[in-house]
Formats: sequence, C-alpha cells, structure tokens
Amino acid sequence: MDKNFLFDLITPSKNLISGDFDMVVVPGEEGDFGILPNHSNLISQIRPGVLNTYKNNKIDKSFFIYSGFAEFSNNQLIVLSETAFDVNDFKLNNYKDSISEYEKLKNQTKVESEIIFFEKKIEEANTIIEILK
Amino acid sequence: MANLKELRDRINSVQSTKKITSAMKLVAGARLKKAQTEAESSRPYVNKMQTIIDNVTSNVNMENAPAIIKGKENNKNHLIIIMTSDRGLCGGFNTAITKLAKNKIKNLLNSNKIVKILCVGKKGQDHLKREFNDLIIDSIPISGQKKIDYEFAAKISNKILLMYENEEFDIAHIFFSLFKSAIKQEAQLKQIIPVLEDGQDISKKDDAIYDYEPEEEEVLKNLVPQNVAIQIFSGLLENAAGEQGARMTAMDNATRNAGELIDSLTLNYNRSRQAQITKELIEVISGAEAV
Repeated sequence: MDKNFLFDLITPSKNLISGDFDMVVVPGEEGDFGILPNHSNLISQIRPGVLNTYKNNKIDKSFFIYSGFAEFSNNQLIVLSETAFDVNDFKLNNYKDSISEYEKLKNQTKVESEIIFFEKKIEEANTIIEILK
Repeated sequence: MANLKELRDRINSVQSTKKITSAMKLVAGARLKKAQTEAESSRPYVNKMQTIIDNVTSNVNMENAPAIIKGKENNKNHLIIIMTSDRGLCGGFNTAITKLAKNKIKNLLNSNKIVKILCVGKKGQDHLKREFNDLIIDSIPISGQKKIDYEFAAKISNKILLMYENEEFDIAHIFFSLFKSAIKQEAQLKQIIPVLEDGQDISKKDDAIYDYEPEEEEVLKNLVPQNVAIQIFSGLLENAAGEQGARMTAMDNATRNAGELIDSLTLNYNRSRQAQITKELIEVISGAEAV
C-alpha cells in the first residue's frame, strides 16, 4: 500500500505546489476533509479556508484557498483554485488597501457587470481577512 | 539611370527601416519568452478543468441540467468573442483569427441567426468594422492592462455571464490563436456557452466513479462560470505569446527583405556612379583629342 500520494495545487497562472504527501486536509464545501493515500475517487467543491499538507504527521505547508475544486483519482489529488496563496505570504494591510482600491473603482464605474465584479472582489478580500487575521 | 542623390536617399531610408524592424524583432523575441512561459503555465489548469467537466457531465442526468450546460431549444442569438492583439505589425496573426471569425459570422447570418460581436483587443474591431460594424456591441482594449492577469479575464467573463443571465444570447463562441511555436499559431474556435456542443458525445470516457460533494448538479453549476473565465484567460495568454511569435517572424522577414533591397539598391547606385565617371572621362578625353 502506498504511504503517500501526489498532490498538486494549481492556480490559473502557476502551479503552487507539487509533491508527495502523507495527508492533505482540504476545506470542502460541506466541511473539511482529510485525504489519505488510496482515497476513493472524489470531486468536491471548496469553500474559503486553509488547506494543510502533512508530512510525517506534521503540517508541512498551509495554503489559503478561496474557491475551486478538488479532484482525487489514481492516487493523485489535484486542487484547482482561482485564488490561492501560501498563508505565510498573507499581509493584512495589502488586503485592506485592495478593499479601498476596489471600493474606489466601484464608485467610479457605471457598468453593471463591473460593479458586480468589484463587489465580488471586496467580498473575497473581506473573507480572506476574516479567516486569516 | 536614376539620379545618384535619389538613390542615396532611398538606401538611407531603407537602412533606417531595417534598423527599426531588427530592433522590433529583438524586442518581440525577448517578450516571447515570457509570454510563452505564461501561456504554458496556464495549460495544466485548463486541461484539468476540462477533465473535471467531462467527468461531471458524463455523470449528470442531462434532462434536468440547466440551460447553460445543455443549451437552449432555440439557438437564435449568438455571441462571438474575438480575441486579437492590440497592435499590428505582426504578420498574418490577426488576419487569421478574424478570417475564421468572419466565415463563422457569415454562416450564422446566412442561417438567419442574430449575431453580436464582442472584440477583445483593438485589431478585431479594426478588421471587422467595415463589414459588421452594426453587430459589434463592445470592444475591450488590452493595452490598458499592465499585465494580462486572471482578474482581467474574470472581468470579461463576468460581463459575458451577466449578458447570458439577461438573455442577450444563447450560444457563445470565442476566437483566439493557439500558440504552437514562434512560427506557428493556429486560429481556434471554441464554444464556451453552453458547455456541451450540439451532438457532443457525453457517454462515459473512463470507468472512474466519483463521489461528489455537494451533488453533481451543484458542482456543475459552479464549474461553468469558472470555466468561462479560464477559457478567456488562456485565450488571452495564448494570443499574447502568439502575437510576439508572429511579430518576431514578420520582423525577421522584413529585416531580411530590407537587407536584400539595400543590396540591390547599392548595386544600382554603384553602377550609376561608375557610369557617370566613365561619362565624365569620355568627355575629358574627347575634349583633349579635339585640341
């Protein structure tokens, strides 16, 4: 039996992490779930939260993921996320700045689709701050 | 024989053109590397997304699926999204994309469909406005962006999805150019809404059985908007790489042509010069003989 499995965390612009792990805990839509080697095939939606990877029963790396999908098959876990980053890279002030930036942009534009877009972005930044602060 | 001064001016002007084209070639070459890496790093996400969508669609009962996945009964309103570059001087890059799009638009119009065109990148509008100016609903320039990031693509996809919700169209296609290599780009046509193309085989591709969390339908509903955004994002990146590749090749050709032109002009110039010297000598000699 395999002791570990391959895990990839992919964002549209880059592959954040790729490697063998003992366990990965993913914040699923209906609650966190741990993936161990030889897990059954699974496709799950992700809610905003922190994803932890384990090596030798210790947390190896933690990533924040905002949304996306996790797929497990053939002893390989792939997590696709539009917004994902290492929790160590989190800087509260950056997100506070970006919220006021988006607020400003939102008030400038009159296009409906852009207003919705900026609202989504503000909500995203707020959620990130709430979870990680 | 042409005037010597005229020839000299011609040579000088071709030489400065050659300098410009060779500089542009170098710049495009440098940018190509970066754009190519970006385009290639977006591919795993796109491919994986497609696998998940294929998997889910083959497991979902299609009769109850929402319209955004299986399509509507009457497909009268079409949205054509044409992604091109903002700048020219890149050979046949934009022409290839717009040519493919024009064919599609003509076909749709001939079968009495209503077509709306959304241009991403200024060149698309430039190429299409003569024939289809009334159909263009908007043109989004790329050059305002510091960098083509996912946010830009998300903004465009948001706009498209909102239009879909307001029932402004039933089917959306994107046109872009797939980057194969610096000398080869292929204009592509892809349907993004609805997810399933007419007559597409949705039977199970592999035997893998998945657990879904939440239900399949729910997962699928959320997959679609993300898929639209990522398709546009990857189209933009493929285009950016293709544009630089096409420009590099075009400028390489232009530099070579300029070189050839300079050679032939120089030959012409030297011949004229010698002819003039000979003529002057003959005049001197015949003048001396006459004395």
